Amino acid sequence: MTSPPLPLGPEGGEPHLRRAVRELPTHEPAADTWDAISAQLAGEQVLARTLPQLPTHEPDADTWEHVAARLDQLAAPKPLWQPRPRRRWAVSLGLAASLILLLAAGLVWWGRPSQPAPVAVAPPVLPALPALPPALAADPLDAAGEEFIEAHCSSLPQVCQSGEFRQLRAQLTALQQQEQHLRTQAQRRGATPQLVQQQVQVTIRKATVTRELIHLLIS
Amino acid sequence: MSSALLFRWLSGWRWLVLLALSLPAAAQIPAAPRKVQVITRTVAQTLPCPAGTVVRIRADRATVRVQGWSQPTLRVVLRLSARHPDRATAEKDLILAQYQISGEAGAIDLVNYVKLPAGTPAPTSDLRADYTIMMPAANALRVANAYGLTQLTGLTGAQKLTQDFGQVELRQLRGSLDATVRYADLTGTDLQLAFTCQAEKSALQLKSVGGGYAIRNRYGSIRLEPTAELTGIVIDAERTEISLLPPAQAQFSYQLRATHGRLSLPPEYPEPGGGRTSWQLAGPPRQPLIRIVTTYAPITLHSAAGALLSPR
Repeated sequence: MTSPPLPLGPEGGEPHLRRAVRELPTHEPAADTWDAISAQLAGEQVLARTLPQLPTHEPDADTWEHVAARLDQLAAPKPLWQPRPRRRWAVSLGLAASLILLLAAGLVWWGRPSQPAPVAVAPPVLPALPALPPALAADPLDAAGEEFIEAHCSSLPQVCQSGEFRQLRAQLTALQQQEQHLRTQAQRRGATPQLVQQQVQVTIRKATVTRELIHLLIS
Repeated sequence: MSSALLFRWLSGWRWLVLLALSLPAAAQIPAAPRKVQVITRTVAQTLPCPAGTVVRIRADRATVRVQGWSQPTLRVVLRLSARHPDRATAEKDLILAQYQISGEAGAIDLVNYVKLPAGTPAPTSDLRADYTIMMPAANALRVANAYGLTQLTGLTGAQKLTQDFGQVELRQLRGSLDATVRYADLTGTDLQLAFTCQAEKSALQLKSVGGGYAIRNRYGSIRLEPTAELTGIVIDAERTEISLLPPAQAQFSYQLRATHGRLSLPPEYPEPGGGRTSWQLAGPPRQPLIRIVTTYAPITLHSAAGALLSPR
């Protein structure tokens, strides 16, 4: 399969982007996937084709008479036990319906794509957790946190002038610089796993320091 | 003439006294920061809270303490406060701090907010709310809070929590808790829960916890110390450090994977092999499964402290 041309921005990271795309892991579908899909499609087609051709069954002409007679019987004083008259048309209709159901269920079952056995089965008490929203390049909460810190330094000067607070703030500034430095490196040399690990460490540390600063302001 | 001289002398002397008095005061101002003035307003209310009533708290910059009790009522004490170095400013800003306590059919709402009439500048005081709530333990609870502390204790119903910035403390909880936390420090002890958590840039620490846990986190950390009452853990994390300290006697099945991260196991477990980042251990059948996935950050499985002491 050929990859479509990449829409590239004006920032000139084209070679890196190309290399990153080349380095993306390739995933081959399981060998039997196509067979499974075609079997499923064939099954659906067979169903769609055969459904209109199914025979229709009209009730016998005397059905209404039977029904009326039955109603009359119900209205009349009930005998303790009465053998039910067999209605052959109803039996055959039921059988036909069951057959169609069985056929449909069988086709659907048989046509299912065969999946590898699931590796993990979550404990039944746990509801499925929706995925996190995609990570944004600039987290709006980052800015919100910084804004909060700025705004509260005016109303709580004694907190902001404390040694602990100043130290944390200096740490945050240093981490921001480090983050910027790593970002530049990643742009220049490509994001190797080692580099991303460092970035992750810095981002986790930055979030921790931000939480600690806000903790000082709100406690 | 002499009286005028005397007056001048007196006035000069008086100025001297005033100057002498004001000197230490003037010297003190720059040395120590001005003390913060705190103005508060307190409301207390008790509302009927029969079974089936959902309690909804929408708090802002608040300390929210919710504790379960066995009475069919909800008791709330809400303290609103304004802090500012200037007392008049704090007093003026406290008026902007508003609250609402209402009980309708099937729900009790507790809300605090800042009311800003058009054209009014934003308050410069640090406005806070402090809720102390006692409610029937089994009733459903929904809490949203930001920039504050949320503390849930002794509840057994269906609980839902959203917290941006600040601390979350969970204690003695049963039932279920569905938490969404961002930039928060969440700690929990003595939980027997169906716990689901969506976290971002948050640190989660859960100690002596049983029940089932489904957790996501991004750019954060997770530390878990389950008990033998654990029924399962599924952590699907990104760029998040995870450490786990299983109890000494319990046996679990493990599936751990740290893509581009380091996997550390205690020496008594079979080694995953050099450079490998995933590890599986199938315990006896029907044992709780601990499934942990993360990227670019380490997973550490600690050795249970009691394991070495327990007789083999």
